[in-house]
Amino acid sequence: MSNKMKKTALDRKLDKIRAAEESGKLGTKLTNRTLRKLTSNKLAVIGVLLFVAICLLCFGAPLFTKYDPMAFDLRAKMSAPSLEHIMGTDQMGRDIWSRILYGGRISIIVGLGSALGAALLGVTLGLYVGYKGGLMDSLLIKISDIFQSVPQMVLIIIIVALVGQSMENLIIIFILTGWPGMYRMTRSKVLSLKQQEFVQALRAFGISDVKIAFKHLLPNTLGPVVVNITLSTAMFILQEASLSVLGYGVPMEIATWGNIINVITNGGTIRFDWLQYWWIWLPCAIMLILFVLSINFIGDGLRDASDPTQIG
Amino acid sequence: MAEKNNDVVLSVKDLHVYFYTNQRCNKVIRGVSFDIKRGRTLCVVGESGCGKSVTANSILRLLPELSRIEEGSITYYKEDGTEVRLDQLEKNGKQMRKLRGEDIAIIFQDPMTALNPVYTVGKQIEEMLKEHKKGMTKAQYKDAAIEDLADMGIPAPDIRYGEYPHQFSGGMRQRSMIAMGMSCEPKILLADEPTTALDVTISAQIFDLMNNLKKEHNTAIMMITHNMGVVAEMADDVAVMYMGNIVEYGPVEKIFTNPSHPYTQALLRSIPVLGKGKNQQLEPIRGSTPDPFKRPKGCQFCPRCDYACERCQNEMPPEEWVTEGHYVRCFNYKEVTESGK
Amino acid sequence: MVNFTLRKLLGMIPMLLIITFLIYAGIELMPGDVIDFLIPMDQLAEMTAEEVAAFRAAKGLDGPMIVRYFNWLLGVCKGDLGYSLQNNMPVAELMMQKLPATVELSLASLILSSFLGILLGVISALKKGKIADNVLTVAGMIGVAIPQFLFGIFCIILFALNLQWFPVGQRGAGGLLSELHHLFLPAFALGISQTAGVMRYSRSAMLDSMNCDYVKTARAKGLPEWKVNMLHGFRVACTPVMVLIGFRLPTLISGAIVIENIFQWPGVGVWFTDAIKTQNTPIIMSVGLFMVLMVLLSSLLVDILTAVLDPRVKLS
Repeated sequence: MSNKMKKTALDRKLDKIRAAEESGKLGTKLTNRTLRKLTSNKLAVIGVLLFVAICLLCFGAPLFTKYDPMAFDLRAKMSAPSLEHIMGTDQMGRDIWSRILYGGRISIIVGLGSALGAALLGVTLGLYVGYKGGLMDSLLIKISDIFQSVPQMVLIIIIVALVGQSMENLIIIFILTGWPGMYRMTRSKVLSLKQQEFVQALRAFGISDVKIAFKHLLPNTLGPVVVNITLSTAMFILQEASLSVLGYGVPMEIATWGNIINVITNGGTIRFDWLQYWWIWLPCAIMLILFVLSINFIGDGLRDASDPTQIG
Repeated sequence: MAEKNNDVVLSVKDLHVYFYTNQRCNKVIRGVSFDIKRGRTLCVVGESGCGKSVTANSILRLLPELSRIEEGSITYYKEDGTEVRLDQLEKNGKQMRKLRGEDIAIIFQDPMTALNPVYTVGKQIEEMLKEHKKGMTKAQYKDAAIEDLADMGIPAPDIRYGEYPHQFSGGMRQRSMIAMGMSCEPKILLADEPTTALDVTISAQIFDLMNNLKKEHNTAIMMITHNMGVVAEMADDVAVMYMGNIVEYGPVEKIFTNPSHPYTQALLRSIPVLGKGKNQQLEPIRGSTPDPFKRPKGCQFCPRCDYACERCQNEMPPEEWVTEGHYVRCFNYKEVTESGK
Repeated sequence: MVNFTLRKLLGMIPMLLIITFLIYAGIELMPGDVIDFLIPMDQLAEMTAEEVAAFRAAKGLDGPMIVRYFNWLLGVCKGDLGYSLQNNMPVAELMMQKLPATVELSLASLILSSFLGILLGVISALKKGKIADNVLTVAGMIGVAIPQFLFGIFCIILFALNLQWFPVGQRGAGGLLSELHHLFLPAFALGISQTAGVMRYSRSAMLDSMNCDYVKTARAKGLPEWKVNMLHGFRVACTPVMVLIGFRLPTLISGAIVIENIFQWPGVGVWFTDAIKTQNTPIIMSVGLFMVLMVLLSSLLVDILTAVLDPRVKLS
């Protein structure tokens, strides 16, 4: 670039890369390029750290709190944060910090479990049935059409009313509503891979359909699937919370992030007179937002890492 | 270049262009010099990834965002005698934009993607006219666009004018790209592998078209190709590129009869010659193109070269003049030239 | 075009039949008996079996499920949506009361989120890698991470309670100004929480389009940057963004349920969740039918819109 022009921030960044390249610093490491880009993405690193920290806190909850999340202490109702209860207590005198940690377990299990379950079902079907095609494939496409034609929230509410409220049921419901998306995504990827020559060659060698689908097609679809799993984990955690507002989530007495926050909404209407007791819902809301944010950072980082046009 | 010729319309000197993707610095162009002359076709030939297209895009300043012209100059000589340093203009600034299309036009490799799918072909040609020839009426623009299409040998141009690119065949699309490129009668036409995506008969028609343009309008053409057959057919001058350098540059007769760089010789030996019968011996070039991030220290062709010496491993050979207008980057070019005869 | 639309509309009928049947069957399978919601417990205890059976017959709750489903279907075909089990009001009339509120809220937030989302997404794509893009990207991700209802609560606390700029609860009555005043806060909460999604999608669609060769052709023509970005980059990116917004139309009605609850907005959402709790079949079925119809019609709209926006697409 000519000296007459002023250097922009991008120019300075490029200068740095050039200097590093010329001094031979780059390229000596043989690490995976995707991994390298992921670690150079600040948001993704923050995401991973936050994710690990929150998971540690929640699953190692007994190490970080001495209280039982369900234990009432009617003498200490609605007490403000203090040394005794670092996040205060709720209307029944339960320790909020302990409830956030134990509740996080349920919320994370619901979110992650549902996303993994939906992915397992959708990807398996998408790979095998998508590859085989035929009657089964057109049937599944019709079924997923039906699932996607009923608005998701409505579908969830109806199924919850049908099978009842519990954590396990909620996971099953989320898997039921989540698989069509995964199925369609995998299927469309498989359909385009199917046309490629390596698949034709495998078939010509007489490799079995199952083996082609799961050994050769699966690795090629894994990238978008992993991104989708992270993003749907975030989505399911948010949905769990929304269902709590409507009174259709995990039963109220079990601590989950959604249930803790929804003390303030009392199943729909905001309890304006409780707004002064901010500690009963706000810390948990922040925890939930941070966790969802961390997952989104990771998912976004993963997506960018596989995109070569991005400066990492 | 040694002499300043009145026919030179564009002169590139010691151009360096680096790409910065994936947190790495890829030195794509490492000191390239050549001239483009009025009424002549310069063919830039080389294997994929050697920097041919990047050179063309640098001239029009159409490089992607994560890349820079680091050193060197690109000078455009206007008809009125003024010189414009293209490398110093603002990338998408007013001056550069005025030159694009009006003075220098480009045709891309893939006519399938180079036309915008949502506008009619006619509208896309008109867009060029409206940008550079202001003050015409609507009907005049339309007539001009139809005439441009007709000039390129497109049948029923008045109907084709209102059709979308996907309704065109590949050859027709490339013709309309050329029609668009030529609509403002540019002084220089850059053609980036214009026929790679087309079949042989269509390619031949496109080449005829371009040769006519050169004769009628005295346009300077820079044609990028990886096909030595195209070079033989089209070129007045040839630049052979390898890994970001021009390794040999000169008039086509000299390059074909008197190749002085081992890479040029190898290229010529690796293509069949029509009429030599089916028993001719074709020699592929041994080895493979090096990784751009693990380049040889000296001459880039050194690991694959039969004439390599110790000096070649450590030093990049300078541009040495064989005869007037013919240079080569090789320490041993005399020996090479001898053996090539 | 007309042919295509007719064919698509005909194709919707089996879909509608299957889905409404599934919902009907779903309500039937719900645990508990509707009677329990209709007659107070103490009264029910005093009624004889015959009286209960007569009550069922009067409400049309007797007979096998298939028969009742077809009775309902027949009614719908005649334009009769049935009567609410709770208060015997005609469902059609109730719908006409509730629907405008929901449609008004949804439409306002759709317009807000589309406009803001596309604008910010395009800016973000054009400033890729620069500060503006980074700020918008992080803001967008935070936007996606905040649950809708929580954002609603924040809005109420800030704008209604502390600043007292906007009222909460009920629709405005008496004049456009009052209506807008009431509508603004829920529409803002719903719209902003949906903006992030549209923004991220617009950004990637715009980036995809800007990476295409025709953008380079446009630059090579010497067009000014705004023409390159808008007439070429954005014009092509428009199609996928419009498709996304089209597919969002139906989810707006159901997506408004939570916000309607928080804001006490007298729309379909609260009414619908109450109906599910009390197994009020005629209401559930009518709202369900309406929502599914919205989904199917939107997909038709998306098909037509794509064909209009993209000349390569042929309706067939």
